[in-house]
Amino acid sequence: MEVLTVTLNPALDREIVLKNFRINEFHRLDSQEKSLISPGGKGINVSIMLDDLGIPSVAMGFLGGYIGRTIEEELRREHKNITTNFTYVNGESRENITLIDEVNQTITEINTIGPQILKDNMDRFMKRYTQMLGHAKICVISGSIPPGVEKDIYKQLVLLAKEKNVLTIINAKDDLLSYALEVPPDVVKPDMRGKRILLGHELDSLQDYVDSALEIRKKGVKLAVISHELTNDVVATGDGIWFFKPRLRMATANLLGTGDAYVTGVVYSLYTDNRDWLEVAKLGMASAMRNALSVEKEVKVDIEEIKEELKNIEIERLH
Amino acid sequence: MKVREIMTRDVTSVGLNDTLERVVETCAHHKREGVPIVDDDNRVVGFISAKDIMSASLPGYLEMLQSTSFIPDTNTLVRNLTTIRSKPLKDVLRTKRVIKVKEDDTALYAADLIIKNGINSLIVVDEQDRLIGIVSRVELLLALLEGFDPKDKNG
Repeated sequence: MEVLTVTLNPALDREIVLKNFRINEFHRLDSQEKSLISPGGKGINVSIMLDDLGIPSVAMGFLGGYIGRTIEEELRREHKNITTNFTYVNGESRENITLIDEVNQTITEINTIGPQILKDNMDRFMKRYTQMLGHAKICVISGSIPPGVEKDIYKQLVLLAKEKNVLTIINAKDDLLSYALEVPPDVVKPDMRGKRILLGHELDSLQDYVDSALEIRKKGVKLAVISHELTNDVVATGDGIWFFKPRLRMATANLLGTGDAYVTGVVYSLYTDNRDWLEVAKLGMASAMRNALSVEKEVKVDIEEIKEELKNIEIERLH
Repeated sequence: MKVREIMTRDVTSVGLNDTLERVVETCAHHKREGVPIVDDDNRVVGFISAKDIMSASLPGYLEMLQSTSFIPDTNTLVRNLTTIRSKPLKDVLRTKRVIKVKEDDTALYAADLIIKNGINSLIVVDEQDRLIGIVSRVELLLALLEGFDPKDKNG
């Protein structure tokens, strides 16, 4: 098993599609297809997309209760290239409920909180994680953390991976990422949804992005990818700083899951032994762009379809 | 049909230093009757089942008699279980042959092993003897019912 994905706070995504959603009213769905469940959480999403590309991975993290078991069973039933290795805890895993009103074009979301993680749970997870690192090459650490987990957890995970010469990719918000940067990880893709804050600074002008990219690179990161205005990226490698832009405008409504698709492209590239970091970034963006062609969170595509998008990326050197 | 097509790709396991209580919890969480035991490098060194723990908590002579109707009272069982709950596996586990299969073994070979040894599940290992999954009796039956082609000589 060469690829590990870590999702400390997995979720069961439940999408309910209805007509004329009204608060304080009774709604009945007319078919089962109007209520779909799928395992979620950023690392798990990467495992699922890798499965579509035929790349096996081990998915790790914490699961709890009935929802936890459903997440695990759905993963196993639908995705033959995923090996599960979850640590069970008391309490229920998160459930992210999305109510989509087809008529009024509204989206209402309700996210539950993850289970409380105790020290003993964490110790068990760390033991399993260390065991798995022994025969891994690439480790993806993604998403938020459940209550009870220390803020510097990603730093600890990256440190352990480095000891075993495992490449690390982190896709998380600034508060979790900044600790990990002290190690540092090999690939960094800050999760900028909601806030444009990186290393504690608010990013405004393009120069701010370049400065942040330089700062991250100085810490020893081999590839840093910072989203700029939703669809563009500022990419830093050891050789320079680049601006990546899709040739065609992307529909912002389709951007759900593109961050995970990006990471999937990066993993695919590294898995096939590519170490030209600029090329790695290109495949990441191509994978995100392919994903953004449709509205669904996960789209089953093959690698050739992803590579088709490479020609639609405009690249300009910034530094 | 090969083991790779019917196995559950889950690598839940315990270590020899884990306590019996941890084993019971792990079985309960994963709704399993037993779990593989692995070393620090994920290599399989044994298997422990709920049945093994029951046996370990009963006085030795009862196992010989193969019946629990001779237990003096439930308290004996509870008392013994409480005594051994925090013991590490390595102190309790009697050495047993681990029954393993590889991904490329046939489903029929796996079925044969399960039947001959009267066990609930088989451990699937890779070439380096590392745990990569399990095959349970029920999964095996399901797979055989759904997908077995009688014309396939390799079964």
